[in-house]
Amino acid sequence: MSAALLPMPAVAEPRNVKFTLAWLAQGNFVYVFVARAKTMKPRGIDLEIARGFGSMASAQGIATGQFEFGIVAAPPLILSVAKDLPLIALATCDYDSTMGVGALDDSPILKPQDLAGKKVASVPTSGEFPFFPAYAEKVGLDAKSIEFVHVDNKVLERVLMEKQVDAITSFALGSASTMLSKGVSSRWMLYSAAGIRNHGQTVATQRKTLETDPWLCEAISDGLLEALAYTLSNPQDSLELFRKEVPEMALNPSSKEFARIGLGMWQHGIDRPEAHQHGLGWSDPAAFTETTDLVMRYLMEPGAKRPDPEAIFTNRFASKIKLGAPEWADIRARVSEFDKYLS
Amino acid sequence: MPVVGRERYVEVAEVSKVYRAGTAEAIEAVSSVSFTVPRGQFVAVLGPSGCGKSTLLMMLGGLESVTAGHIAVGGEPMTVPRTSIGIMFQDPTLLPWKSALDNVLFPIRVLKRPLNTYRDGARELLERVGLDGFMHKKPHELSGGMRQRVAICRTLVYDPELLLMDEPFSALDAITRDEMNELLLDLWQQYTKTALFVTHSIREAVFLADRVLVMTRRPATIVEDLTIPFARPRPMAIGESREFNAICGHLRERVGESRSRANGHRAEPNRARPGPAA
Amino acid sequence: MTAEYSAVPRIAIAPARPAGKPALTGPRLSQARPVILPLMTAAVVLLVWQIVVAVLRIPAVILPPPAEIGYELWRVLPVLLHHAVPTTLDSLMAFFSASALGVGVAIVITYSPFLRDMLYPNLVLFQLIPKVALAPLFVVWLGIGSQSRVAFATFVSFFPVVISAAVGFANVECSALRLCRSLTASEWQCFTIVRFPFALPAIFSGMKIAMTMAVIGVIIGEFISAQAGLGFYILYASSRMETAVIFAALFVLCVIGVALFGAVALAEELVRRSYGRR
Repeated sequence: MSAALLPMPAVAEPRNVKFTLAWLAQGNFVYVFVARAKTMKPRGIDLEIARGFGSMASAQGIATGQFEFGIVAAPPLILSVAKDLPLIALATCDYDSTMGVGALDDSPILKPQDLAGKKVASVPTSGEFPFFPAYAEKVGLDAKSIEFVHVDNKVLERVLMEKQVDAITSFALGSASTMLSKGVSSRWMLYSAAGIRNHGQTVATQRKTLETDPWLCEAISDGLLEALAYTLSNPQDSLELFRKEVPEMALNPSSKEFARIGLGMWQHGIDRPEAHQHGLGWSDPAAFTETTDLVMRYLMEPGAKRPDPEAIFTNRFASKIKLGAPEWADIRARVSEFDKYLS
Repeated sequence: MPVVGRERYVEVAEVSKVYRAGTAEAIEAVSSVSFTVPRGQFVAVLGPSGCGKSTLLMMLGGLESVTAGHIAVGGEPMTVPRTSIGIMFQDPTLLPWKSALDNVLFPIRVLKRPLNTYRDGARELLERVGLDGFMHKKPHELSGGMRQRVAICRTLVYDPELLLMDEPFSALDAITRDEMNELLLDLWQQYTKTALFVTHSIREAVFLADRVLVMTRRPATIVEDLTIPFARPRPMAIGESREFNAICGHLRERVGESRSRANGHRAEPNRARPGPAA
Repeated sequence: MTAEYSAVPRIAIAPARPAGKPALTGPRLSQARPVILPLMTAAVVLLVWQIVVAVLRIPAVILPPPAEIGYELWRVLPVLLHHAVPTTLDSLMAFFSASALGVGVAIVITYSPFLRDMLYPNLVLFQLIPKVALAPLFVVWLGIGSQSRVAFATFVSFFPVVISAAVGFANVECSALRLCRSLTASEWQCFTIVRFPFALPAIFSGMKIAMTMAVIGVIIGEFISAQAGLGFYILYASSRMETAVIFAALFVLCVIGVALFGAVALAEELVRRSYGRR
């Protein structure tokens, strides 16, 4: 996969672009660092990547102009737009944010209904938190019967590992790989498995930026999706690049493993019909509509104005890169080892 | 009372005090002081400021240790503070959250004696010093002179045998100071204690005392032991008399001599010389 | 009679005032100033804030206008008050623990030079550590319940008390301690009658800081792990991007913090009054 795939504008000076992740540099963001190293420089972009503090925070950071672009998970993005933040998604990078409820392997909790009367820890500022009521309703669980404990993300996995709580809600990808890298395996009941479609990462920016500088938006989108394709097909090399860009990730064996597992699990979220049929970066209007329904129902005041789909995402720059069936088969084979973590 | 009897109630023998003894910075504050005080005598210890007279007083009160020599009060060696001794300092050090009456009764509390027994006595003392309308006032509502008066009452309330006073009136203005001197004599007449009064005021010493010990600058030692010939009770007017002023003049000379000498040299000791003939 | 009387010049006592008009100038206005000025400033700030948000079209999620905050405050007040209870109780518990522990350790430091040399420099150094960073550790050590929050808040507010109390105990006037010694008071008596009361003003100043830190510590603790409380509720509102609710919760938190601090300051003032404003 060479960088000459997509046409590039001729640039004189590298332009600094501030970009925020939705969380720490981990497996599911490897492609952003690959982009910085391989696909952004030829486009004349010096991508300055900052770690994030949750999708909510990155959404607000982009809305206030602190960052020009960033990753925001789709559901929090829709919530932000509903709350009048002028953001728009340029591309959807994966199709399952892996929101879910996790328990330890030896836990008696095998299905969602087993959560009744149990203690569950959540990080309230984490993107999946507001959607639990929707999940509970879908699986026929009485949310009031659950004892919720709010914790800081620094101690989320720990309180589960130490059995201070029976289960946690989180993005399975992040939490499962954190625990795996410490040798603890977990089982996850994904919201998507209950039929709540939640798209994963989107590349977000201010609507104003799209209007005034569509070239930049296109360049960013292209660069990221190219890097995405590269990462899918060259995971080893991508991890190497990642470690070079993020030295603290190479510090100890557990963080290396953490990145590898994260990357592996994340690829599950891309290996989906949406990507097979429409190519990389495509946002499914139906999925966005469903999530908007959930947001309006559980998170907004009755009578609040429903955001216009046109305002939430655009497919203008999507679908330029399509991978072929053999490539998908390869990807499938590589990620099969991670199947067992996600039910 | 043991064999020593009335004459040698307070006995100070060859007493020295050296700070930081044995080091290069050793300071000899008091050097080989000796004197005795009979019961009921009022002795003034006179000398320039900072000459070690306070140190002597502290040793007499058991608040400082003696480096060499020996102090006995009432026949018993003096090593730690005693409840038969009352000490007054320049700073009245009243407890600010207690009333004047409670401050006077403070020693009774510390000594764990029954408060009710002493309450009337305390009230009387306060009346004696002219504070009967102020018994329930707090120190911050009293003037400097009034606070010292409360301190006097506090020192007397538990009836000590020996009174040690370290320049108690030095911080007051001249008029108040004269008042306090009169008051002190008045009280002392009534309670007839043995008293040692440290001062750097010559007139004060002559007015108050039966006997004046003149001390030199550091290392302090006694250079004159002068008996004051005036009878008691002494009116304030005695300060005008020629005899009084002659004695003051003489003492001034002695004090001046000792002050002009350099450190380390001592004036000739001149013991128990009676004053000029009346 | 009347003629004589009216011949005597009368001194005017107060300037004539037009009937019915209250005096707005002079003493009354200057008394009210300390209250009027800050209120007016706050009102102006709120007005500017409201206008700026409207004119610049700032999304409510980023900075809600005061009107909206007021509305949310009214709307969710019962919930806020419900959550205010655990936060307040935890803060009080942490404050009392920190005060008791702080004074206790200060006493130990005062009376044991060995322990003082061991502990005091470390305590001062510990002040410099950003203790917020240690908050997650408390959850690791003590679990997700109330104990870890109260323990963390106690830890944070302990230092101001121990240091100010230690300084207070050490800085007791020597003359007061000397007075105690001269009255043969025991160490315990010295402490209860003199040292502790003299140190109270210093202890109170430490306690005022501790009260503020206890509230902050509890909120941080709730951010790390909680099932109820204002910190908990703030995070919950934050998860739903209800920024106006966050501000409303912060307002209630401020009121609580000021009230608690005010209570300690009031106690301090009462003590100060009885001391006579030292």
